[in-house]
Amino acid sequence: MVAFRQTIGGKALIGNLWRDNPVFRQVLGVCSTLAVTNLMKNTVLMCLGLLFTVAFSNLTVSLLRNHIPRQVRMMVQVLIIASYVIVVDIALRAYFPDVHGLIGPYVGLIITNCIIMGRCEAFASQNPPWASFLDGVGAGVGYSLVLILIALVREPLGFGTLFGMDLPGVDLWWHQWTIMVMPPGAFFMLALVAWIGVATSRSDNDNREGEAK
Amino acid sequence: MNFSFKRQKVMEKVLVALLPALLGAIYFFGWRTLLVVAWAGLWGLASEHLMASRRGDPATESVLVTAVLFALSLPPAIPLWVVAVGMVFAIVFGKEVFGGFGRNVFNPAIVGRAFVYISFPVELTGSFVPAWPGPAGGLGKWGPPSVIEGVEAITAATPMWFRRNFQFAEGFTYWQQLRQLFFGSVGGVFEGGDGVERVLAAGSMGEVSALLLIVGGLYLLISRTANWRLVAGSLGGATAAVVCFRHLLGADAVPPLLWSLSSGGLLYACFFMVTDPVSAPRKKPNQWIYAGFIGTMIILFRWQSIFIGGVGFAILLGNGLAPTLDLLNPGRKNRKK
Repeated sequence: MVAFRQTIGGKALIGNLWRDNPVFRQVLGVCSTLAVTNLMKNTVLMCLGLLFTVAFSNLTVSLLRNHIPRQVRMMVQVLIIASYVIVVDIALRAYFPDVHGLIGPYVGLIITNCIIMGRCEAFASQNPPWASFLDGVGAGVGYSLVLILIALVREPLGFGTLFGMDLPGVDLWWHQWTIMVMPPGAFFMLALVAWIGVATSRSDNDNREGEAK
Repeated sequence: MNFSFKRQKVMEKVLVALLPALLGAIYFFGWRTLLVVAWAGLWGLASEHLMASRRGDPATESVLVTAVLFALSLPPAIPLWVVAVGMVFAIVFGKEVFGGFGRNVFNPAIVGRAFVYISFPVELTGSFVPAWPGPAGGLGKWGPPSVIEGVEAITAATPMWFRRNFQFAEGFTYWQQLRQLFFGSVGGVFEGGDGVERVLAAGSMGEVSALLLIVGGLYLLISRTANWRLVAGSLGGATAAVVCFRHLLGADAVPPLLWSLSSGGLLYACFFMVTDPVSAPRKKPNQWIYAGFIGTMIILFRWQSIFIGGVGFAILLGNGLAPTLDLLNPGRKNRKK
């Protein structure tokens, strides 16, 4: 385990989970964080879609990294990402048509999620395939952690349910927090999660003297 | 745990100025009002202490002002848990995340009020209560009179619902409504333009009597606690907006001037919220623009927006504008540099 942590891929995987978390540390992919987190089911499917896309895009970009001319590398990366997004979109449409109706537009927009482009450009285009794949998994899981934390608060407060099932005794004590159904609720929740995240993680980019007041 | 508390003389004067409105609220809606205010103060102090002590700062007296302003802006039958949620949100998100007293962009009391208004529409606007009738009012009572249920029967936050069907049942003249608004003994039955009977009921405890607010406001002005420019600017802006919309554009949905001014939270906001020195601009000309903008927007929101009470949103917009105004129009002193 210690040895794994010290490999490039292991380092990237673990760093992306929390310490260099793509959402609250790198502040990427915020748009979908706000859009899909009011129901747990949608959130989990969105997270799986992103996890799949970022991991395999990273792998593919890394495999082809020595064959892509530098001048057109971004275009090639976008094409690679787009093909995986189409796979996700078709799979979702086939197996979860109801969810696709709700978050369909955002699935298509995974392609513009800066996390994927960022990982491909910053990591996969310079590192070996296995390490890049692990880096992608780390980024995907780090993103998912934040989204699931937000959805865990938004769905119970906004709808009184979790994964679409009523909370115990919901009629007795539950009151709807309308704001949690609406995008502003996601802003406040994202701020809270980012607050907790930044307070509990310490990135190498931090200016330590500045913080130690 | 060390509890440190910083007294602020200005804030004490604001608290004194709020006394008439508070006593009025007790008189109209019973002693539960006092519990709501104290409860808000408790949660406010606790959250301010928790956040400020991490920075090594004391809790400030301004949190009590925020608590009273927030509590009095709630409907009389408000559930206590809503008060607690709103107050914690007001202090933590409205004030402490910006760095505590003096650094907040928005007025914390309004932040809390807007949050609960949007979050809990059922609790905030689903039911409206009239004031206790009779000379003794609610002095011998604990809570407000029986709640009137249902949004269909009554459709507004403060006594101003009927702006869209501006018509009273026989026996209730314009001046009688105005007297209710002025003295605060809301509760008259009238018939709306759609033929449904409605009751002139309160949406907020502290806003029902224009008279009590004016008394408190005059104290603030005479003791020079509040900036007179901000009060005059916002009242002037509202007046100009009413004249413009109702008399020049002929919009009958905008109530007449005195009615507009004494209904809802307008006076409350102009005296106690627009004058908050922290969230207002610093330069004199900007203060006129700022206050005038808020006054105008209150009337515009009441007339055109989905939400019936426009006061809170108008002030939040104005708060957002204030720093920009000071940057764009820095005044003579800074320009010389």
